[in-house]
Amino acid sequence: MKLLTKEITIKNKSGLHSRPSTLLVETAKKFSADIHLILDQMSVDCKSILDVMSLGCTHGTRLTITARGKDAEKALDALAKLISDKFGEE
Amino acid sequence: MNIKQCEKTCEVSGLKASPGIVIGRVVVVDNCATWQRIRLLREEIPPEILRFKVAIARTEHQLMNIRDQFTEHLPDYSSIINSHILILKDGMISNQTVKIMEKELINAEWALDKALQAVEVRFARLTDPYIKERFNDIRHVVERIYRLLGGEEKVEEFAEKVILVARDFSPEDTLRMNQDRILGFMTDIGGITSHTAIVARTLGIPAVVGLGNITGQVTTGDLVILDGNSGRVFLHPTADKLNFYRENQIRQKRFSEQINFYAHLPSETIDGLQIQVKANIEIIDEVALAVKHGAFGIGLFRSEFYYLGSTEPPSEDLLFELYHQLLTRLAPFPVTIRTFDLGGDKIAGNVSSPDEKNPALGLRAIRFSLQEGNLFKTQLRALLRAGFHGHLRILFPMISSLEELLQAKEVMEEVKEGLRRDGLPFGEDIEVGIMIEVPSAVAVADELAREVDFFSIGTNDLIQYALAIDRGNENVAHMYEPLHPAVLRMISQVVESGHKMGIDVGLCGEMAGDVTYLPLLLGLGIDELSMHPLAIPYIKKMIRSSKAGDMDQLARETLTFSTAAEIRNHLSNYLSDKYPDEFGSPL
Repeated sequence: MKLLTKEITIKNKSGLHSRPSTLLVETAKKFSADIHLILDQMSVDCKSILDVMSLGCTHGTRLTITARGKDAEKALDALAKLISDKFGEE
Repeated sequence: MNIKQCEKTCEVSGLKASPGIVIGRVVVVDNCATWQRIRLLREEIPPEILRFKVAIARTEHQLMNIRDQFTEHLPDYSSIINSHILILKDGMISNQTVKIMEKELINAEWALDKALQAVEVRFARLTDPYIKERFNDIRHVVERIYRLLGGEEKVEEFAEKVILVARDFSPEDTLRMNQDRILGFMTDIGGITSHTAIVARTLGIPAVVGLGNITGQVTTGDLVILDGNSGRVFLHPTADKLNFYRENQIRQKRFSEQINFYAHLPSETIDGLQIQVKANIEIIDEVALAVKHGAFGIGLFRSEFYYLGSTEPPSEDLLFELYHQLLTRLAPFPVTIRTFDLGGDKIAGNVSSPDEKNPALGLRAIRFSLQEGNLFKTQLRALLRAGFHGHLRILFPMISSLEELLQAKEVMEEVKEGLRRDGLPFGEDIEVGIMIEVPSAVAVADELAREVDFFSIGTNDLIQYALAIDRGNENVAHMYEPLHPAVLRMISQVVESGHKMGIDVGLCGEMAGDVTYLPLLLGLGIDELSMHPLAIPYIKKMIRSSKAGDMDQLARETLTFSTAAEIRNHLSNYLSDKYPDEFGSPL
C-alpha cells in the first residue's frame, strides 16, 4: 500500500496542548490506516496522545502527516481539515 | 518549618480556596504514590499483568463516571477528562508498562514508574511552557492508576466524615469527593484560581490550599479546624477554640441552609423597588457559581485574568471566544465586562514598563490602555464582536477626567470603523459605562454622565483614593472607613449626577455584598449591586425585607452626620430596629 503524505502548519494559537491533541488522536483513531506525524526527522504515532503532545508543536510549527492503509486518503483529509480549522479554537 | 512546634496547638495560614468552616479528623492521602519495588518470578508475571489491566480498566471506568456525572455542571471538564482517558490508554503508558514487566520481571508499580519516566524525559525536552506543563495531567492519571493498583482508596474506609490532606488534588479528585464522607480538604500547594479551587467553590467543599507543608505537619487522625473563610487551619486546637468554631459553624450552616432559599427569588423591596443583584467574577468557570446563587447577570467581569501567566497577551480570537461563551452562557442576562485594569508590569511580553514608586497612582487601567493602543484595540474588537451575540455592557476602569473618557470612546469608534471595513458583525447598541473610583471622577460626575450609559462605583479604590489610605499598610489600614461621611457624600453625588441624566448607577466594591451597608446604599439610590456570588442570597433576603421609603429616610438622616462614628451608631440602631431577626442586638 502506498504511503501518502501531507504538509501542514499548526495554526491555532496555543499549539498541540491537551484539547487539540485529544481531538487529533480521536480523529486519527477513527481510521484503520497507520498514521504518523513527522517533525525534524522524528516520527510519532498520531494515535498516541503522549506521542502527539510530546512533539511540543506550537503555533506555526510545520509538520508532515503520513498515512498508509486503505482509508489513508480520507484520514489525511480529515486530519488536515481539523488542523486548518484550528481545532475550532483561535 | 518546625514540625515539633505543631504537636501543640498551632495555626497555619494558606489561601482561601473555598469558603466554609469544618472541624474533624484528618486523613493524609498519599496521592504521591508510595509503592514497593518487587522482583517477580516469570510465572508471577501473567497475574501481575492482569492486576495492572484491571487497574487500568477501573481507572477508565472511574474517569468516565466522573465525566458523565459532572460535565452537566462543569462542561469545560469533559474535554480535560477525555484527554485523561486517552492518556490512560496510550501505548506509552499501558503497553509500555506491560512490556517492561515482561522484560525486567518487576511488579506493575515499578514498571509503570519506569514508563512514566520515559515519558517525562520526552516532555522535559520541550520548550513551550504551556505544553510542557501538560506533563502534570499525565502524572495525575498515573497517580490514579497507582491508587487503584493498591486496591480501594483509604478514604472510603473511614466511618466518620473526614478532612482530606494531600500535597495536591487534581480537579477530578475534587469532583469525586463524596460530600457524605468528606468535610473539606487542604493541600500543600495550589492557588485560588486553580481548577481544583474553582471546582471546590462550585461544589461548596470548604478548602484551604497552599499551606506549604501541611502534609508534614499533620498525621491521620489529628483533629483540626479548617476555616476556608479566612484561609487558616488550626492544628490540635484548644477546647476553647473548638467551642468557638463549633458554635460558629452551626450558626453558619443553619444560616446558609436558610439563606439559599432566597437565591432565586426576585430582588424586590416590600414596597416594590426592584434592585439588580449581579455577580463579580473573573474566570469563566465561575459562571456556574454565579447562576447557582441567583445572579441577575454579571455586574463586573474582571478581564485581567486572561492576560496573566502566559508568555504573550491573548489574541483577539481567543478573547472573542471567551466573551462569546460568557455572554451565551448568561443569556438573556446582561454581562458587564471591564476592560483590563493592569499596569504594564503585568502584561505578558511587555518589557517597557518602568519601575513605579507608587503604582496605585501610576500607569495602569485606562491610562495604560490608552498608551498601549494596540492591546486595547484588540480587546475592544473582541468585545464588540462578541457583543453581537448577547447582552454586553463595556466598562472602562479608573476614568479620572472627561478627556480620558472621550479618548477611550474615540478609540472605540475607530475600532468599530475597522470592523465595518472588515465586514465583521458587531453589537451596535452596546452600553458603555465607567468605573467611578477616582475622586476627580466624582467631582465631574455630571459631565461624565452625559457621555455614558451607566456608572459603576468601585468603592474599594474610591475609599482608598478619597481617604488616602493604603489598605495593605497595617499602620493606617484601620482608618479605611466605608462609612466616612466623605465616602457617603461622594456616593450620593454620583447617584444624583447619574440619575439627572437618566442613567443607572451601580456599585461593585466589597460594600455591595455586605448586608450592613445595604439599606444605606439603597437609600442613597444605588440601582444595581454587584458582588461575590456567595453573597447574593443573603443580600436578596435583606432586600426582600426592606422598605424603600425607610431606606430613603435613613440615607437623608445619615448625610447630615459629621463623623463616621455617628453614622455607624445610627446605622446600627436602624438595622436592629428594622431587621430584628438579623440584627436583634446592636452591632
